[in-house]
Amino acid sequence: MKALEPDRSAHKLVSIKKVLVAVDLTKHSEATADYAAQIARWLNASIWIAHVFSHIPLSAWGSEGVHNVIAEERREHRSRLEQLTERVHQVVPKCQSVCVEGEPAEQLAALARDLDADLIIIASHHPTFLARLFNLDKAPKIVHRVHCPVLVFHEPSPLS
Amino acid sequence: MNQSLMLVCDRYGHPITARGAVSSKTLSNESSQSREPDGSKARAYHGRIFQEAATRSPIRRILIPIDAAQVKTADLKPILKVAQRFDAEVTLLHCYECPLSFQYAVGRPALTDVFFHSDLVRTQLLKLCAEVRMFFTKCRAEFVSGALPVEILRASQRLQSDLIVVPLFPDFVSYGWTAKEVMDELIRKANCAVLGISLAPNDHATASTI
Repeated sequence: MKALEPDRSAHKLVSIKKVLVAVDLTKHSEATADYAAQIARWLNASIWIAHVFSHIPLSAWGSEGVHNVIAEERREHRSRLEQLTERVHQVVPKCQSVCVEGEPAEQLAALARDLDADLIIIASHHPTFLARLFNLDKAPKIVHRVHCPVLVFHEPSPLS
Repeated sequence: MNQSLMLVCDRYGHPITARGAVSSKTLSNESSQSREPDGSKARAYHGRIFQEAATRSPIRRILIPIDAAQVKTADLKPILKVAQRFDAEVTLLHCYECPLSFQYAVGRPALTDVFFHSDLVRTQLLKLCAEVRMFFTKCRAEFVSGALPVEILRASQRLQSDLIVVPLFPDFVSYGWTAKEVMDELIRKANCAVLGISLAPNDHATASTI
């Protein structure tokens, strides 16, 4: 069964109807969403904007104050995601957003399967040496976990 | 003021400036002279720029690193269909690495053999490119030698590619590089978008019969 999945990956690419774009809601997310919107518009595809809340280690043992801070942060993320969705909606009318919680690579793989996405667009921001050392860049993980074509977007540097 | 509009965009299709058209400075001067509402011409001008930018494909140059000795035309069809949809031109890149078996060879005949092998692979690449051109005309081939990810990155910068498409065969192993390692290097260091497509081993093996 597993051997059949990569086969579908290439075939999915031929008719891209649903694009899933994953954003971390940092300052780079707008550029990623804009790029995904351009691609989706060109292919006349619908677009789903996804954000994954990462589990914060030890938060389960935190006090009420810690939980409040986390809840506040999530509310803020949701509102930022809504703003981003509205921005993309102006370019691609068929645009929706979704928030999930857990490990980003696993959750995106599951989401792509559930939505039957034809293409996933993620971003990588040229991580520093330390970020690479501690494996903080999620893009390679997602590429290897997901069973549909993954496009990794690099925001052009201001110098170029 | 009937000047031809030439858009200058960056490699991602974002408009930077326009040549042969009215600059924003002269535009503001003109608007003040003609006493039109502030910014109306500028807005129309920018609207036109973005409208024209929207009609341009976000992906115009695609780089496909391949192993010309293994890849068949049928393997590339899904990628070429995508290129067709984006109206992009495609460059097939083969990065030649001297086979390990040649490292045991010594002397002048060994060198001749390496050159012969290199020419053989180059011919296969050109043949593949010619086959692709039968149904996809905007295709060219490049033959380079060196370390695989380094040469892919160099070629993408040289060609100003908008996208690197990496066909991932599960059985792919270059000399010292697995498909996963090549993909990771490209994701970390590329200056343009990178797309990885998994192709099944069955596809790859039966491609010659299609």
